[in-house]
Amino acid sequence: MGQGVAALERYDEIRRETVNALVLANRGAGPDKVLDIVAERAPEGFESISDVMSQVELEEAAGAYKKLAGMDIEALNARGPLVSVSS
Amino acid sequence: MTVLIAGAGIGGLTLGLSLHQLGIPFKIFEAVREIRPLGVGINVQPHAIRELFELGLEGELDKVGLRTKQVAYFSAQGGEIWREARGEFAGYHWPQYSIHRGGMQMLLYRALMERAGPDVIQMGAAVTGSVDTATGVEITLADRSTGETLGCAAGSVFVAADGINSAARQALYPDEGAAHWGGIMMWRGVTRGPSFLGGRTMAMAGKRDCKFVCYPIEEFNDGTCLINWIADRAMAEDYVWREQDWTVKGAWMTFWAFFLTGRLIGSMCLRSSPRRRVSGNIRWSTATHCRAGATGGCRFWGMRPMRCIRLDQMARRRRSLMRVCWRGSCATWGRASLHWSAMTRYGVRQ
Repeated sequence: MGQGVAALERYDEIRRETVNALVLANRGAGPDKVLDIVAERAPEGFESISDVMSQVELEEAAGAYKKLAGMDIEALNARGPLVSVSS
Repeated sequence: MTVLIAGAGIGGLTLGLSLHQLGIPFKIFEAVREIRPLGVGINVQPHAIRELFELGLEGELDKVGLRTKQVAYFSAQGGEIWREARGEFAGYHWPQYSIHRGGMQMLLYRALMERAGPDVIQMGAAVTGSVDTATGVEITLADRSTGETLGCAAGSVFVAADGINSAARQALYPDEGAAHWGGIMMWRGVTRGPSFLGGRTMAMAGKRDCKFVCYPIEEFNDGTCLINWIADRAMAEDYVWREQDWTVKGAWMTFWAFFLTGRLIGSMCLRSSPRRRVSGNIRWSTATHCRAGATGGCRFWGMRPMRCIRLDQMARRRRSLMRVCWRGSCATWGRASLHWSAMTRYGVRQ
């Protein structure tokens, strides 16, 4: 804290919800979700993954986490860096 | 305007580098006397890597870590569920790195020393408290090993980057309590073994409560790599867990049986009494499960034998990568190749 109290509180306000969501996803379902779904539907294994989960389902599961993590490819490529000397 | 930073970990050092880049004065206070490369592998995603590239660290990162190509998920039986490209192979402008945590910390430390000089870090000085003043903030310092006070430091802003068990955070948010445990214990190790799945793949198999993860963090010229592996297990709610710490030694007997076949567990239990291998701070209950499993076949909590990572060239050799990891580490497990930590997170502030 200190002199920059207002600035730090503003930063906290902007970042908190984003980071909260990411922390919960990392330590909750997150990328493990797909593993659990497959283990539940096919506890004895499978011949082909398409018998267990559709391609759409798989893509949705992977995409949801990526977006949450701010890793969404286009969004990340399009924005500038957080810290830059030229900015 | 001086920024005071508690902790010379990855967060504190990166902040120092960014402040140096912006020309803002800062000082880092680190509790330990010497920074040592602790920990095992981590994966750093493109959105973090771009900031490190912005600091001009691309060449250094390539020396220490590997650019991850893909992540692949498998069932406990070894069936492939999903794989996807990572980092620049997925279209990001920046790579994902699989890297040794300690190696990355040392890289940041070296860069900061070269650019800002040794005076920006005070070693052996733990931050014990902070108070707001008319002009900014004042922190108190102490030598953690002797308890001796080291006086105060004044600045404009104080940033607590002193880790998952942050003392400064606790002081600022006293009602928040300790970090939350997610219910998973992670046994981590590093083993040199054959390259697998193209050599830059992060592979994971099983399910949330019993999962094996492995990925290379260093390559060698002879077709082998340094494999970072993690055995995750969900523990009972009343399990007494320790604070998260990269440096706590693990014990094989407490987890590996859950990831092997019944036959192997049987021979292991016959060969040596598990009791002898259980160290003081590890609970006994797990070994009891091993014995039940050894006589009752090869199922543990519904877990089938994990042939899952018998892939690529590993398949032809009829050995699973997981067993390679065990065997390699068994040879060195007395020498700090195995650690364990609780997977924790902070409470979510509303």
